[in-house]
Amino acid sequence: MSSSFRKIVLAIGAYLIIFVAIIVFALKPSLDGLRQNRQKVSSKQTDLNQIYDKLDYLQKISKNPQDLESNEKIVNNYWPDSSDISQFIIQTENLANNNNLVLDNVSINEIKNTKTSSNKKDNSSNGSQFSLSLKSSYPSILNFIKGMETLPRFNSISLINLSGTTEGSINVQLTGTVYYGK
Amino acid sequence: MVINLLPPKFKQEKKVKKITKMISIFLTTVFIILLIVTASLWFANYETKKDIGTLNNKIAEQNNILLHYKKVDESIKAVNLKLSKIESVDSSRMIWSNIIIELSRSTPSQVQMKTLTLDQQNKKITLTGYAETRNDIARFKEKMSGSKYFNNVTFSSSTRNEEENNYSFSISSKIGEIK
Repeated sequence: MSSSFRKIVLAIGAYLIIFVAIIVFALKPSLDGLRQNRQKVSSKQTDLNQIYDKLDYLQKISKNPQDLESNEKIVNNYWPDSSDISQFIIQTENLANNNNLVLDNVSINEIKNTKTSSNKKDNSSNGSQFSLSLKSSYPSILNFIKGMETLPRFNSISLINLSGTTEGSINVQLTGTVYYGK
Repeated sequence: MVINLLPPKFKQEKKVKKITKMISIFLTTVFIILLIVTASLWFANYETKKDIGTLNNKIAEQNNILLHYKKVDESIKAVNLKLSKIESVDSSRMIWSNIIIELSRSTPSQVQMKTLTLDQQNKKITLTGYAETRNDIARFKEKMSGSKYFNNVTFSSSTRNEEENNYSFSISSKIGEIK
């Protein structure tokens, strides 16, 4: 009885060892591998879908290259790659002339790496500080400031000093930054 | 009625053999099931790896097509980068014309401005001027206080000018809304 019982126990033990070996060395690695590969497939599929979307978007844009070029031109004029101060001075001078203003003085001082106030990311850009002195009536000055705010070249005015003169006109000193950079 | 005439020893051996047979059938079945599951997993793994290979090929193929649009893509990225910079600066850019218009709307006819300073860095407005009466200055300050463009309007000083028969004053304020 004891010999037969021992045989049964030994057989069960041997089987269990084989089962554990199969589970540890074959089943579990296969299962883990399958799980990892499934994740890879899912991530590759997402990548592929993103590429398809991007391709679709680029193909649509490429069908109308004029639109892209014109938008690029507007943005590059608004925020050029290089300082291109002469363009800004010409635009300011034209604006002053259109508003019957006397532009007494224009001075430019280049400043690098102007940190913009974005909270989203660390955006830094180059800028040139400008200072304009002009003289005219209140409506002309107001129109000039409005014009500066909608100028085809992006700029921001940081300081305005207005003072009345004895002749009834107003002297204005404007300080601001005109931006550029890639 | 069935009478078992076998001796107890044989009876016991037969019983053990029966149990052994049952156990071995059960364990063999489990063993076969384990083998089948493992084989299935291997096969599934093999198929998944094939899928990964196919996807990698498709990605490479589409990336090659994307290369034809590289120039367009770079242009778009450059434009978007500039737009994000513009947006970032524009969010804090003062629209001074609105503030000046609002200031002229708030100024009573008996009040004349002499100097005006609009300072973005300190978000401060300082103005000096003349008024016929102190009451006019007070009305001007009240009007400014009621505007969304001016916060903490502070009346700094008012001095009587005997020669001009008026009052010079100084008012400062913090900038409220910037757009």
